[in-house]
Amino acid sequence: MRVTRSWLNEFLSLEGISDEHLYEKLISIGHEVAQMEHYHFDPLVVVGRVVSVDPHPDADKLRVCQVNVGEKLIGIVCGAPNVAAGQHVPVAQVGAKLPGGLVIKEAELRGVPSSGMICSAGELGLPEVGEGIMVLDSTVGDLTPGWQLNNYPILADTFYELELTANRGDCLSVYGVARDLSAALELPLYPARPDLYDQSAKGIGRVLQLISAPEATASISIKAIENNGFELPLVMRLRLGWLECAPQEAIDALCEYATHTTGVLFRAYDMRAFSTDPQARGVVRLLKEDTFNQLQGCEPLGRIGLDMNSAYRATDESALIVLQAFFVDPDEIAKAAWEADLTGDALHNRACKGSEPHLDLGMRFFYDLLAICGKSRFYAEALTYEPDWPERSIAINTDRICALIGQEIEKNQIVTILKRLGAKAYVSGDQNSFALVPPLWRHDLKSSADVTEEVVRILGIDQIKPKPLALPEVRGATIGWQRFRHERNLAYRAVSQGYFESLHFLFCDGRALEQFGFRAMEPEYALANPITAELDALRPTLLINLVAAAARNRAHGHERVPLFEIGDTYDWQRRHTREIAFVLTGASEPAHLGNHGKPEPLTLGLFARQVASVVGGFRLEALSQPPAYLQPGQCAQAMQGQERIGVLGKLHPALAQHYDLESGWVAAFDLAALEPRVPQAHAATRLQPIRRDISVLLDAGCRFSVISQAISQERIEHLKEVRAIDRYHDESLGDRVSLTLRLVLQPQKQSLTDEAIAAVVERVYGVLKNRFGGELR
Amino acid sequence: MNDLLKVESATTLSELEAIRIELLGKKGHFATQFARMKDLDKADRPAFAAELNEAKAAAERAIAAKKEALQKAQIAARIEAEQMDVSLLSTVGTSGAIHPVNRAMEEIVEYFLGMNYELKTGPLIEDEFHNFEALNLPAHHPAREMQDTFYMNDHKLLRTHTSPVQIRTMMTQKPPLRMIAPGAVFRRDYDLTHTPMFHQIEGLVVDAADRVSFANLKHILSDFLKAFFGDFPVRFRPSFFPFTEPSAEVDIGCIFCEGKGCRVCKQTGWLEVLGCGMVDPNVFKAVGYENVSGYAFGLGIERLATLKYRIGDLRAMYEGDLDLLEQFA
Ligand SMILES: [Zn+2]
Repeated sequence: MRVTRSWLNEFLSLEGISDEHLYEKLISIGHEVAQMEHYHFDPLVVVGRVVSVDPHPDADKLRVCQVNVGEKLIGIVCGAPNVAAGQHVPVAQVGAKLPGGLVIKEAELRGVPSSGMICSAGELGLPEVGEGIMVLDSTVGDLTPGWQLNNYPILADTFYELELTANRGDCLSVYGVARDLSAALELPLYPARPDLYDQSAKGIGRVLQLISAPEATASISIKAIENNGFELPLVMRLRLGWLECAPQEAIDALCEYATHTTGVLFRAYDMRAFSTDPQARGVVRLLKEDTFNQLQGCEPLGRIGLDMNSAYRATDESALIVLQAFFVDPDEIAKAAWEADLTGDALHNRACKGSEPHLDLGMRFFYDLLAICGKSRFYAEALTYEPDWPERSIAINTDRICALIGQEIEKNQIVTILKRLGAKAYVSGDQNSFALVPPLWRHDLKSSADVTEEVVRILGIDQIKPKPLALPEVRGATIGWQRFRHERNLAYRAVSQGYFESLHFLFCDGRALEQFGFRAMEPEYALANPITAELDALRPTLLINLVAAAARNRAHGHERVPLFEIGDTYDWQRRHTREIAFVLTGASEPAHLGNHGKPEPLTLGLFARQVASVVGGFRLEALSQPPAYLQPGQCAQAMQGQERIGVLGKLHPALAQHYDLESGWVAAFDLAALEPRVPQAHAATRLQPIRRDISVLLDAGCRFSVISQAISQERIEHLKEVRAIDRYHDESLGDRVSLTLRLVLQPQKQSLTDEAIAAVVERVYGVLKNRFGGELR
Repeated sequence: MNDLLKVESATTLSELEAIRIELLGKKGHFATQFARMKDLDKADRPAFAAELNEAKAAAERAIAAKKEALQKAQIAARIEAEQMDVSLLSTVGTSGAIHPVNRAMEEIVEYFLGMNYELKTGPLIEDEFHNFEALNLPAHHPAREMQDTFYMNDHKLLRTHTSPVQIRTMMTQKPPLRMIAPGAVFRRDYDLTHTPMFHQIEGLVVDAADRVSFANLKHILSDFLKAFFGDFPVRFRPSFFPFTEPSAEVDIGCIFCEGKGCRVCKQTGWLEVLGCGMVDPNVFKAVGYENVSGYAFGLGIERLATLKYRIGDLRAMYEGDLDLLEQFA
């Protein structure tokens, strides 16, 4: 919402209130000021009167003007095509500095001296008001040659851009803002002027009659304009410039200006909408159909507050314009449009936010506007219809208000504030209770809480003293907190392993799903309105965005990119999983003195150990069907007990190539599977474990996970752990490999005899020999 | 005297040990001398013994002193030999880092946990009821324009704020209630100052009617902002949210220019940091709470993090950009 000080001054006197005070006040009553700008001109910029305009002897496009700037006449060479004798114009005299930084100097243009410049609005820092120089008119004030432009408040104005909250439709006009300020500053609004309508004009009854259905729920006021052309005065063009509003048709500009000033909504129709015969009287019908109030002339003309039949929109060519002001209940029209699934026009949006119900206010303003816009005039009188707007009453108890605010406020003070806002208070028997009827323009006031906000706003939010709240103890260490703590602990462990936490959108590029081997989401569950084509799917794994981030970092020259993320993922059926995922490209560790600048290349084993330092230990098992993003034979599922907790491995070479990475390692784990379990300790024996290493020749295809499982199924007494510690191959072994296993034996009650140890080794060997054709080396 | 010179001549501990054995060993010089005593007259023996004892003691002292000196020299030599340029061993760049958003989130969560709030979470994929309707945002409400929502084809939506967690909590838990709900939220907005996903922390306190006031809300948020940002002025401005009434937005004095006005605060001297208010009666009605009072607030974590850590580009936060992340190591 844009207002200016001079515009507000049309409704109340802001004399004695500084721009800064006004700024603070607007903010303190809930109208955030996004921008405030005071227009100020150099004192050498003054009003000039163009006395004569002669052609330049030596240039077709230049004119030589004599301009009266008060005590003297100065010669100015001017290039603007619209300069003419008799005009009042802004003149920057020699020495004046313009907002763009230009300083006016004595000059000579093609041999003719020029001692100043006639300015356009833009050159003075004002919004553009048309081609060429800005011609001043009486709407900015008395034009006296030599007077500083700073003396004209309409030009040297202060501009405020307000960010209104969604509930304050009543402040979507200069009048509305002035009314709110009048309550906050305790300044009276100027009283409505007596009826100044031109009584000598023809009555509207000659051309139109109104027939309204008694059940109609819209206020309307209709006047007719005899169109003799419109000339928009400077004040209006300037302010419309501030609004960045430039309608093609002057009648539209007038409606826009009147609405922005008063808050009353207008539509302008051509007379043909109501009568096909120019000689006959037209008929306006206000009907109530379903939930809408319908306007009808020769044809349906639109639903009030929703739309209009644009075939009958008035233009500047319309000889007779029918101007309709209207008001509908904002909540009712919003609900009706939504229920009928209709999108209205721009005025509908205004009507839903709340507009000015006092239509006469808008009509009076329009009347005054016509007086300064040329020769077009209203017909006398108006055709009006106003339903009995029900008085909505809110039960108020001042004790409740004080409790909600947390401070004692006197009842009288509360009532006074509410009355200043235009509400009526009906005090009943109970000392602290009363019924409040908010004004029609404040449809947002519905409950005692809404009213409390008004008290806070006008009283001043700073007047409320902060107070700590005493509350009973509750248990803060909930499941939610435990999960949060667990995730953060994982994050800190990853950080200590040298990984950087990364965050990515929940969205990913749908095309990447197939590359990574994920099924696209069922259409039923998919995003209906993605923001861009690259973010059109929900990610089924954190890895898609992490790998892309790794590639970006590599492209930016980072040699080593260790990233991890904790976040949400959704599969093709939109089932939710929270994951922790890792990506590492480049060397296993940064280059340093210890590795002589040549860190070992990363292997699955090294990567698995880094990941295990974060998520805890796990067994690696071959994946029967590796996902498309992993390189077969260089990837594994991470197992704890019989549960798969994640997958890890080398990025598939085809994907690595796609992302321009020489290689990459990725891991993704299900957080639910990593949730801490309560440890269950058992009595520890003091007897030392015994370690025996055995080397066996086995088929190269024999997987350790299978061997390990087979041995564990034997349930060999005392055997606590079997660990693979070496795998060796040379040509002499052919298609066999030598695998060295370390057996860890844990005696329980007494130390083991050599025979007992040998028996365990023998049984392990038996499994290797019988099940896998193993041969002791 | 000869003995002492010999001790003095030792250059290593092993040489000294050889000399010690030569002088003091079982078959050494002094043992031999004492053995000679039995050949002397009884009368001469005491004087001989005294002299010999003294010589032996002198030798022992000399050896001990020499040993200490040699040991010191050995340590000094070792120290000298092991001198190195420690500056070669810088460990800069070996640690990773927590993401600034999560760093800020954890700090905020810890503050409110310290104030005895419960931590709650809720689903990212929500329905209209929890995300809008229960929060006093009926379908035709003009305020819905304020939020551009991601919808799914089955009319579910990505939550536009963490407020639905309030609703879910109130529908399953009786008052009194004190909770925060951190998490990701989504709006269809992507430009220099908006990302389609960002993070919020929602706060909600509910107790019996007339117990919780706007003054209490002012207290907790002023205190929180002081804890998070330090001693900057805090300003409350009346505002509007459909789910709170009265509502306010909270600003802190610009931490960049200390209120003088700069580019970041758009010359206002103030930075908007959060929204809050007293829970609207319609929200309590939607969840079936009666005779209660409460306040709610919502913090934008990216906003707080970019201000506190002075991060210029919001979008870099979602690109896994090591140039940014390395600054948080
Ligand atoms: Zn600043």
